[in-house]
Amino acid sequence: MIRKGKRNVKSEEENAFAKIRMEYLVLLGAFIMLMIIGGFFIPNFWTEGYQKELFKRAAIVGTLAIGQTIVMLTGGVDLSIGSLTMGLAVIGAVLFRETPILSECPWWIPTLIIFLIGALTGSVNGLGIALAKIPPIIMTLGMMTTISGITLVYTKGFARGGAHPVIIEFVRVSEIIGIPSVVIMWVIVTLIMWFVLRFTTYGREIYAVGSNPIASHFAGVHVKKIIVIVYTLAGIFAAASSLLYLGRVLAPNLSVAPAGIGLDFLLSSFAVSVLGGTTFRGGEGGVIGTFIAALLYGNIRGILVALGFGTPGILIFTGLIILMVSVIKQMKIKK
Amino acid sequence: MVEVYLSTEGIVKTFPGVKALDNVSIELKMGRITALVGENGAGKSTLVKIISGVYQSDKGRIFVRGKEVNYRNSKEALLEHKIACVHQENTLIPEMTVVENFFLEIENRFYKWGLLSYPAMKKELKSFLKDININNIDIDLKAKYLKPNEIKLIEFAKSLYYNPNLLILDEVTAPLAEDEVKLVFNHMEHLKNSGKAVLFISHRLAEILRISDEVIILREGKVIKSLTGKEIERDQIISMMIGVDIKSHEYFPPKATKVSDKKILEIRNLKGNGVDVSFEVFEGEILALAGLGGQGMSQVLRMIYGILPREYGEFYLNGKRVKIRNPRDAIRCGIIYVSENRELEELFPNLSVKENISIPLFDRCNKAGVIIGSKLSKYVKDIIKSFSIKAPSLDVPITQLSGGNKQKVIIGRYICKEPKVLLLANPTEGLDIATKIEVYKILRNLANRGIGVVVLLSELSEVVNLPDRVLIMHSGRIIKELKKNEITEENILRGYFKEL
Amino acid sequence: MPLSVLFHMRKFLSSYYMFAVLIIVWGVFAIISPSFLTVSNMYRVMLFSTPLLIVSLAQNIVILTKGFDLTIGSLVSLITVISSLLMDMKWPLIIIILIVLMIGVLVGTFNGVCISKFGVTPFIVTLGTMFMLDGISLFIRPQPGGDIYPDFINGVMLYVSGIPMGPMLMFVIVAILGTLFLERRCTGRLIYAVGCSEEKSILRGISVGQLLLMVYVLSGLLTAIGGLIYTAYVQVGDPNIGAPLLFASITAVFLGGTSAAGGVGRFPNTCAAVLLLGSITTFLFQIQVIAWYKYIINGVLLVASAAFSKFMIEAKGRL
Repeated sequence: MIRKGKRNVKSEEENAFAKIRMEYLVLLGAFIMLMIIGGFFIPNFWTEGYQKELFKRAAIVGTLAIGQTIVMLTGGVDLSIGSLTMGLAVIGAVLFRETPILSECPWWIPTLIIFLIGALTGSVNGLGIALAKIPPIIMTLGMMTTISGITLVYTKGFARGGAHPVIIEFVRVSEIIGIPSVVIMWVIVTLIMWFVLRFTTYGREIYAVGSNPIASHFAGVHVKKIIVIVYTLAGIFAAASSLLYLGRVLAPNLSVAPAGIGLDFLLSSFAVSVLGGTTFRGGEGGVIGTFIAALLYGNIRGILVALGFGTPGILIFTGLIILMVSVIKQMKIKK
Repeated sequence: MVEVYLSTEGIVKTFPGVKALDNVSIELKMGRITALVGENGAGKSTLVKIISGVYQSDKGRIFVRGKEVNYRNSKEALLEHKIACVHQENTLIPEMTVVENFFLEIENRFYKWGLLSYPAMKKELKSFLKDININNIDIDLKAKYLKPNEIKLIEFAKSLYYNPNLLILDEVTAPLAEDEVKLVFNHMEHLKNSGKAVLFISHRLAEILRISDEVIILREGKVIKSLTGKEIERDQIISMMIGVDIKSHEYFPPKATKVSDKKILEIRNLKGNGVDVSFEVFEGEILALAGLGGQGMSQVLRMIYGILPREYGEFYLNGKRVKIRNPRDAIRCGIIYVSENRELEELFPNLSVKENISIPLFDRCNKAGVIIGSKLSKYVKDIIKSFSIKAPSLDVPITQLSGGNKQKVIIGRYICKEPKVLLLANPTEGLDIATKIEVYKILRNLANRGIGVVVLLSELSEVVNLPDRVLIMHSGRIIKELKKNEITEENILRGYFKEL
Repeated sequence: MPLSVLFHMRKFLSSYYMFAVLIIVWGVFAIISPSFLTVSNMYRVMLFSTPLLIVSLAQNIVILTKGFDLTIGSLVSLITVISSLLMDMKWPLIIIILIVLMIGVLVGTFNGVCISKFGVTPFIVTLGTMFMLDGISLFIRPQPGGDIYPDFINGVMLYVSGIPMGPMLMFVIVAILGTLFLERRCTGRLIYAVGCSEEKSILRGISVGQLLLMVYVLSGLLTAIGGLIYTAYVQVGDPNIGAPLLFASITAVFLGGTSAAGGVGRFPNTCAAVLLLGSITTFLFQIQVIAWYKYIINGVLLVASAAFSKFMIEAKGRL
């Protein structure tokens, strides 16, 4: 070779693990620290009851965040999953309790319907973005507003119905070897998504599309298909979240956030994804980070509540933490 | 004693992991055209960006007319020290018109009652362009609709507008046609004769030899030598650039002695975007589409690959008609395209080297959608080896690789897909001599394996020495086909200018 | 037709096409409900639109730089809360106004520094700040309340024989000043340049960091002004009152053809979009339909306009 100077290709395994471990270790470290702080401040922190509640709440937030994370990996956003979750909860409540035929059916029929509607809505988002080339922000913002409008008009602000006993039992009561079933489900789903993202062609193509959609297209990746899949998945996760939400609160609470329903769902899905290391640039991040971040998020809230902070305090702290984490991350990159 | 306009002393600039400039001291004299040559990664563009004010050096000083200066951005360098620079990268804001782009930094000179006066700006620009003999550019167009040569000409005009004492041109001639290059050189000579200093960077040695009074050679961030007058000679320059003795005839691999007459790809009536062509690609040949800038060659390739919409086109693969609507269809037929816009259209910026190589390989390495890691790793390692891709490790971000290695990654990864036809747009643009030679070898090897290689080439020496067959295009049509001995510099140039 | 006339026509259309849409919609509304096109109704539309226009100008400027200002809604809420608080404490109006403006500048500076100096994505920064501002508002005033100075309300509304002229005047002034700033001042053009391509702007020596900081400070300031006006409208301090304005402002900016990719979009169209949103709300109110339908209409309209504008861009060719 004409060029002078040699460089050896290091063992790729070493470097890959080094990079991943760093970020997740930091997050895990933060989580452990918070557990310790929690134990300090919260009277019954180390009781089984409290821990289970903590993990259950994290599971609900975390499940929805998975959908947002996957969308963000393609460089997009889904502003509609919050209102979709709430809207599906409303529909679900009605299907489970108020509809003449369906209320008699076994629990999994209305559940399936909810998942179908969620997937369909998500796919509408995906089609708008992939085919009509509408920017994700605009498409999902429009969808969010529309869903909010439809839900509000339909319910006239007053939600009826409730969840099915099976679901309630699943979310609130059932356990397997002492761990709440919701949490186990959440862990399984996270692991499945992790596997898909890391080891399947679709998963790697999601990262590729997020990194450079044009290059992906040139390389033969079916970019449109990936985008539709991703947003449909987000819709499915919204459906799952809505059922978990119903199981937990028994009946949807349409405290009408004037801008759109389900705003807190949306904001927490962002907060958790961002904290977990997924960026809006696309092609960076993953569901493991989201998983740990969901636990962190739940922990922070718990500590703040115990310290006597109401909603205002929680909001301020959450905002502060998001800002601090992001700034610190940027400063690390600059180095 | 010739006066020095700008000199640098001990410039050091380090980027993460790379020392781009190591104690660089140069002198740019007035009334002289100084050329800066070196491979990619030698530090030319970095030095240019420091002199023009875009970067700040870590160490070292800059003197203008003997006095030390310290400008913080390129606007200061331009307005206070009359250092104008046409960068390698296009700096026109795509969504703004030519007029707005031209005066963006000094719009406050055109205020009338506190508001910008566009008529005044247009008038000024029109008369200026006329004065410097750059015509036929619609100044009301948004920059994104301009052709690459028009963009460069406007940027060149902009730098002249400020009446610079030092004009820096970084790879200006790359997108320009012969007559436009002549225009640029005329202005450079004019500046030189008016006693101004010109710094000229180009990969095209022919131009360097033609116009420079002094040649400064950079290698790995250090100034190797400065040649003047008779010392400026081709082989000398090249060997200093790459540090080894290389004679001209070794640049290009030998052409095919006999090309098969088996047609792999036939294109009939490809129409659209101002283009109307029909041609064939034979097994094992290197076919070049050549012409002046903007004559449609790039559009032809992109329309074949399905990334540029076309009005009509029939494609026959080994005699059978195929439908190509998008890259997926093309790849299925064994046709692969490599774009010249590496950063925008081929590379995945925040992914690792390994991932950049892997993405086109997924369909070879999976079972029911799950990637077989071991098979993929083997492919990747093979590619790294056979293309001699230099990277600190497979997991570093692709951005850490040099331009040449990036290009090797791009070309290399597609080979595993066993293409029948490769379409390459300007594969050696912006690469250093050493990598160019490697790429020529790679292309010839691919052709020898039976692949039909279709290339767009910009440098005349490449068009003469690399392909087995040349199709010259003009105004979107193929006007001449040159085979074997017909491929000479004279015939090609005649074709370019339509003297047939 | 001579080329220059065509050129000027095209330029005019691209700046004002939204008004054509607006007129068509008005026509449709008038057919459905003839009493829509009355003067008093138009006043109502303007009334509704003015605060939205002010915050939409802020949002427009930010979105032009490829950014987002999610703090707009929460900042408006905070302003109403603080104003009502200080008015309850009987502070002089001038001082209150100054404090409010300062708060706007502060929030804007905070956002701007995080974005330009630390390089954090605008979406995340303004998301975090939004959380914080919401928390502060809720802390100060958990429930809506407060007595707003009648003088202040009258001063904003500027009643002339019973008709509120103030908001109309403000609408026109903001529309004109906003357009002139963005299209005919150097700084405005630099905003477009930086929004279109930061890298190229840096190469040309434009101080991008400074510009971004200024953009967010400006946004904060404008939002604070909008918040003040809004306080006169709603006549309470309410920690939740501003949220609809955030999404409405984003909707208006995108509806008006500003691109999420930065550097493209003209303010007159945003003004028309604001009027359009105001008209829809007023119309629904007039035909006595539940207000919530407007969400559906706004959502569909937003998506349809985005799809349409993409289509127009492909078909328009030059300019």
